[in-house]
Amino acid sequence: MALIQIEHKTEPALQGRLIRRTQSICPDCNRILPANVIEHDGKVWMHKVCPQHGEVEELYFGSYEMYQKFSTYWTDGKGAHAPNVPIDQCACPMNCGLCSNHLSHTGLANIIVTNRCDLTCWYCFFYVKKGLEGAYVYEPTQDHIRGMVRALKAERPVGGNSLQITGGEPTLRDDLADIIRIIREEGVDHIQLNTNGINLALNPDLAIKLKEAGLSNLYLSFDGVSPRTNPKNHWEAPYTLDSCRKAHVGAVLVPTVIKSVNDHELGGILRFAQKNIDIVRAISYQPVSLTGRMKKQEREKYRITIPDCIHRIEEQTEGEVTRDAWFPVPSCSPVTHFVEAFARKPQYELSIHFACGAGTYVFLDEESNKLIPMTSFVDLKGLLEYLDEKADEINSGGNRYITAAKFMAKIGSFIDKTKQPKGMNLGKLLVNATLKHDYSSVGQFHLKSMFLGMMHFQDKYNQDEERLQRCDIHYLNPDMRIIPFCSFNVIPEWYRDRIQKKYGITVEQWEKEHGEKLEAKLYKGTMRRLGAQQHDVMGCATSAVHIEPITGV
Amino acid sequence: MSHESLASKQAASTRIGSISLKANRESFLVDEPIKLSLSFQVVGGFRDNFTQPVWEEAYKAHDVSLRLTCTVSFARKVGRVFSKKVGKPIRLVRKARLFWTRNPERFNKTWVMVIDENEVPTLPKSDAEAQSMLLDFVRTFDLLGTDLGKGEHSIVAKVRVKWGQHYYVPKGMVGATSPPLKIICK
Repeated sequence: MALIQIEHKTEPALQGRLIRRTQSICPDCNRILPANVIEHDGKVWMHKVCPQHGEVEELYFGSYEMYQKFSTYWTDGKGAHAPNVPIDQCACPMNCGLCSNHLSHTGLANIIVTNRCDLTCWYCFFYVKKGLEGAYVYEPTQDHIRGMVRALKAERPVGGNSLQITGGEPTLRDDLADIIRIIREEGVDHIQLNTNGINLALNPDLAIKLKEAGLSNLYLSFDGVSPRTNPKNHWEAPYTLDSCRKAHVGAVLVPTVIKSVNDHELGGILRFAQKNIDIVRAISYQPVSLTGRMKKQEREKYRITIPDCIHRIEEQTEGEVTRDAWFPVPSCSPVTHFVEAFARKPQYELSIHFACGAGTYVFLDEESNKLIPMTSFVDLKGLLEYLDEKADEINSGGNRYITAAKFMAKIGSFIDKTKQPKGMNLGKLLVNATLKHDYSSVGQFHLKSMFLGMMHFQDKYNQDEERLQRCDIHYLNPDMRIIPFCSFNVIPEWYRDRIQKKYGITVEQWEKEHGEKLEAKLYKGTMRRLGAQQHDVMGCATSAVHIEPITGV
Repeated sequence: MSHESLASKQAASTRIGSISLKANRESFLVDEPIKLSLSFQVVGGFRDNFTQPVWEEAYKAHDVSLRLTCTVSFARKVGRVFSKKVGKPIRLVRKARLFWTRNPERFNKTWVMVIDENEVPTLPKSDAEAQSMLLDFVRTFDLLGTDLGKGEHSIVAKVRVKWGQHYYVPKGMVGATSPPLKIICK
């Protein structure tokens, strides 16, 4: 399976040190181009030249030092053993679906249940905009959805088991609870709902209904802690969280991070989550993906990368969550490999590219009310090294039970029990999860802790085919293709738009069939207007942890 | 010959070569650090087999990660044998990661990244460079004069390199002892 070889032109001399060579696309014409990943000024850049549209240099990763550290965790995954698109030659980003050359099974599957939305955020590219030529309302039927989930479960060597219902705004679908039930029936254990939370704030019973149908948690858009940075749901989010409390549904806050817009509030978002740690399980910071044609000056204004966000969080939490606390997503691989070696069967693995995402855990110290990163009491690097070594030992013929016994005896040495949060036995929890596959105690782990994640989706300016080939966040589609996020959304003209046109209907037809205008469901800002009169009780910046929900608004 | 028996034969021929131990000078004060320079190579079958065509096959078998552990210890001569340990053994871990490259200059899909004992990742330009990065060791070590005591000493470095089971080499270990080095502590 060779690469499709591409035309080689003489390239201008590089400004900086070459780190590696890869392939990308031209942001104008989608031509596959050779690209250089280079270092200068302590940062990592992507440089490429289109013979027709010229040169592009784009910030790829805001810290060379962190890039180097993260790259040591590079591990290619097991691949897609049951591809829907068998092809001999690797031609990313073409023919996604998953193809035989894709290197990661689905880590998280997305199903778009509608592309209608009750908001019109300026940076969002997911919702149907009335008046645009070729705008289609896309709402797959329940039968389609069942088929898509079956395609996910049929993946090999590991069937998908984690799914996100997304949109548009999924709560605009009246049959959302039925959809959740269908997904559960097909055997998916983890179902999260990507939402702006407004309908759940207005109607707390909806959260209970969705929980009863099988919803695991909310994936709640949340861009900042002031009305200016978060006009989307500043006034509503506290009520959404209260609905979650009533329904016992955890929430993940999802800020889209845009430089010069909300990057000064990353610490504030963390503090808001800390105040609501009883219900907020995680924050998933997402540095913005710059879609559409954008001039370099404008890109520089908005472009932010994972290391930049990590540095800002360190600054804005006054050093509570340090940059050293963060690890790239594929750093989980030694754990997976150890469990695989012990259990002797393929396991779910997060084998994305090291530049795609990062994460850490923080725990709340109730005495000081400070957040303690996991790395403050766990020698995580040492533990990962040890697991890597032990997996190698078992794979090389070592007795797995003796190795497991060594692991149990050794694990305590990686944990500083004096600094471990009170009431927690991390060693026992890790042994249970890795060797006994008993995850019941993981709930305790989450109780006073939060996962902080970061996921930087690509765009046409920084797209790296090495990243795309390892993507594990995939879209399920009615044609049974499973398409990586950074193809589906980065080149919508090849994927998202085509699919939505094929399986959707025109806005006019939808309006005729439903007897209402598309814009009739737009949110009118009811809570914001009420909040203007009740500043002391409403809005994220001033919210108490528990506030009584308003109903009947 | 099957790939297993070939790999096995090549592993059997793997050894440590060109081992040398040097000091920046012969005579030291007892309270000053002694700077030693140790160099050696892992040569033979393992090295010869660590090439791009074999990486390609290993990658197909999803054998993508190699871990090489090297232990270095120093010993002083007591009587007729080098039996007295000097300082603590030092463990160095090097790794190789095979990955599917999208480098348009490469006509094969698999390439390697080598991560040295200081956790510096490097993409070699050729097979030979990859072999060298992974299997050639040149390291300086600091011993304390107090570890040896006053007098004339003869010391050696003992080296052990081990690795796990892989497509291109069976699990194995090789070891060697450097030629003796004379050190005078005053």
